[in-house]
Amino acid sequence: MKTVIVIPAYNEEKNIRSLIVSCQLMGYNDIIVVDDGSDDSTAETAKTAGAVILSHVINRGVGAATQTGLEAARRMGAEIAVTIDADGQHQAKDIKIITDALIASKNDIVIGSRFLTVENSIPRVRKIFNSAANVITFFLAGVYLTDTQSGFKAFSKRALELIQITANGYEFSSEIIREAKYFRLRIAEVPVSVIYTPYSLSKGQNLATGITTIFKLIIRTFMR
Amino acid sequence: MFSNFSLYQLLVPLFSIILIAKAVSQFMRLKRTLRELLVLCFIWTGISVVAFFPDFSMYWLSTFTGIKSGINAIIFFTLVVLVYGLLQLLIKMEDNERVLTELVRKLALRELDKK
Repeated sequence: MKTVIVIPAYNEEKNIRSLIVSCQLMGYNDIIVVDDGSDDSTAETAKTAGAVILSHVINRGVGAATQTGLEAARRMGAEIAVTIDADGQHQAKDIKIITDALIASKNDIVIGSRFLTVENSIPRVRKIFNSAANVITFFLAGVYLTDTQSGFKAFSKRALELIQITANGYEFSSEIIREAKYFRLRIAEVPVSVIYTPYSLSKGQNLATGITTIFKLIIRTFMR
Repeated sequence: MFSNFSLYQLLVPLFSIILIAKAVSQFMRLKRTLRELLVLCFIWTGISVVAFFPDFSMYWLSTFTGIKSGINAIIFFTLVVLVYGLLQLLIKMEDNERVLTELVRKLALRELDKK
């Protein structure tokens, strides 16, 4: 099945090449990098490594970049699209785990969960915000998952056609789950490994973005 | 009959009816959700009732909220309306952000069409 890897990236020139190469080594050659208005040479580095580059002229956020990438994957005829974080926290070897779960159980979305295995060393603040986001997502979508904020996901062709992300920021993850529930898509989670480095910790959600994400989720839940 | 009413007692409900009609029109054109419509109807109907029956409304609000002074009750409900307005503004801002994102996204996807 044609699998397209989607990597939303913002100022990731340090990591993007190694991530692309590790995906290629796993046999995935259709790789889209959405350069979300980076100030550095993310786009050039990714292009040299062999990825298809789509550039946002200004920074719009990880949700916006993900939607651009998924739309591009759909146009490229993807039967499966996999989104993966550009900061190096996810492992290319786990792509097969989530795509296998997608195919074998005929799921529409498979989320790579950081919390289904005890081996992952996850900072406490991330655990707290993720738990809060899980609860809000439950009220938003009516489904409880262990890692609603994971950027590592696989989408079936059907999911690619139906899901439209409108959130620009990190709250897009919860929006995907809400949309999936609305369209009665099958969602599953599989455990994946995650490696937090000082670099990846500096790139992902922090206290400020976590609070903003939760605030936006609450507004979307109760005011929409 | 209307000679006993102050001008604001007539203007506020009239204003509310116009805004509710606008909200219904937006709902019919799928520009508002049912939840937004119901919230707006509730707020503007409430404001109209308070304006039309001030004495009764103040007594009811004071009893209902436990806030003894009618003026305090008004301040309380004004704050509620202001918070609602603020959230509406945030949603409007988000809508504008979304339009901007659509533009950026379309420009990016043009690159794919060229390839």
